[in-house]
Amino acid sequence: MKRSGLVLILSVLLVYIFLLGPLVIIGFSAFNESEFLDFPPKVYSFRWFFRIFESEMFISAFKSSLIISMLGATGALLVGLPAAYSLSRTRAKWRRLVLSLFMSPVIVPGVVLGFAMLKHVVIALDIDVWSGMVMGHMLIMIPYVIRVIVSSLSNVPIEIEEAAVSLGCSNTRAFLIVVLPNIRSGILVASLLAFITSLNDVPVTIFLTGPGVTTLPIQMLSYVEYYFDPTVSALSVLLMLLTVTIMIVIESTMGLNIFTKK
Amino acid sequence: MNNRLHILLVLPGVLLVAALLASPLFFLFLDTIPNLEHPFSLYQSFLEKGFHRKIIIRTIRVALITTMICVILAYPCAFFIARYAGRFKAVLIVIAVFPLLLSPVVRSFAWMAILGKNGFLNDLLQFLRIIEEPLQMLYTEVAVIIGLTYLFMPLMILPLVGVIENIEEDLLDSAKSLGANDSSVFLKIILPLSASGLLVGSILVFKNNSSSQCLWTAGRIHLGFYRQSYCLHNSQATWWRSGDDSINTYLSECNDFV
Repeated sequence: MKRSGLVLILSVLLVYIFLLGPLVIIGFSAFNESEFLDFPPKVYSFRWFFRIFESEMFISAFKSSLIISMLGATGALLVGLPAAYSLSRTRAKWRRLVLSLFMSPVIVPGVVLGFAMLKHVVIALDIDVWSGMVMGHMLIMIPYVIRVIVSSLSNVPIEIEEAAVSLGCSNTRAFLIVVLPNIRSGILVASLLAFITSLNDVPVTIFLTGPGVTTLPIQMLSYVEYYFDPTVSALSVLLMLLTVTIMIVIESTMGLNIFTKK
Repeated sequence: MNNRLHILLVLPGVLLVAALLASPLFFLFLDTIPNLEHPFSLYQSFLEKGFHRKIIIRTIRVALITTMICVILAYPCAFFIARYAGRFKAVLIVIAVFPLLLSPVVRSFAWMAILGKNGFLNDLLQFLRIIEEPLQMLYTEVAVIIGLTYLFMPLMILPLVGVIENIEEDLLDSAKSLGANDSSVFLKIILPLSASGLLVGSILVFKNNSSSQCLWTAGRIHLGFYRQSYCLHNSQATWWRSGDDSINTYLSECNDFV
């Protein structure tokens, strides 16, 4: 048992070095003075971070990313919240079917989804790039919104709602003053997860970009095509900080074990 | 609340998914059937090209290898996290979730910096005098497998942790008290009970693999891909309605056009 325990610990170490090592290397290279991505850097500096804020293309791509993700998340919440509520309260036969319909954007490969949307929605109906983009992002966010809010609603006993209704509250009012405050953290986590998913998305977005509208990941990809300097490393560090912030918020509201429970 | 109200509440969402996902996919499928006499002729002609077959086979091969590597590496890791990690458990889960929420572009870029001609690994090997000339490591199948394994490892670890956590300690104790040794406890109880996690993880890894090999090798495949989708958007070109549903294949095709 002792030896197998040692093997186990070694394999965990190996996997975690594999998971974190590349990110550490990128982190270091962001603070490198030189043009090259050598590791470890000889002279440290912040010049590549300043470079990001000076370059119009990253700033405008990040702005579009923010607008698209926020509009998309708002839309996904608006249709997702009522749907999640109904799915967690009904016992009707269609429940499973509708639930799997809502999960389907995660199942369908992003490339297929993006292409199908481009061809048969955006081009077929002649929709402008911005609206197409927001719609696509709404679609990829819906599964996250539904899943998190449904699981958060399952912790709110239906009895307290029934109590409110039996005391003369209308259904809508009961939802607003009894249910909604109880799932606040669920809604927050759902929007954060949806937001980060949309912010990181490449396969769907790449089909929906058009002249003048691009998102940060797409801009980063096309930058890497031509230049291989630490600018992208510096951007990576900023994105890591954003991710850490979001994770802290998720951990302190719902807990990160939502990722291990299905 | 009555059924009609519930239907009313799910309706906007259902309509949205139907309009943006279900119906485009349906029309996409219709596109691949030119006429009813030869419904699958486009698929046939697609598969007749040796080049296409090669790419499909490569795609499946890479996805299978990646999934296998993920299972082999992630299982002991998840086992440790779920059973023995103690107070480190939360930290280990956090570290596994982190890459999952980080942009895949960042994660792929990290490996480009490591495997590139002047990358970290080549520098290290040259420094240690193992090799004289830098090796071509990026843009090879091995590089794609490493990158994809890296991208999807957390997707295997996390469901496995969830499943192994839920295996009751009593079950293992009773097996042991009835005379089972460690390995048979593992093979006959733990492994079958974690099968569902393995399945979920494998499906996630395999699916993501087949859909986002484009992400990795960011350099070349992406270049072709981006241009195609860009020109498609502008000129609404339809030259490639050659009837393959699997856009993945189309992607690799772009790679070779460039």
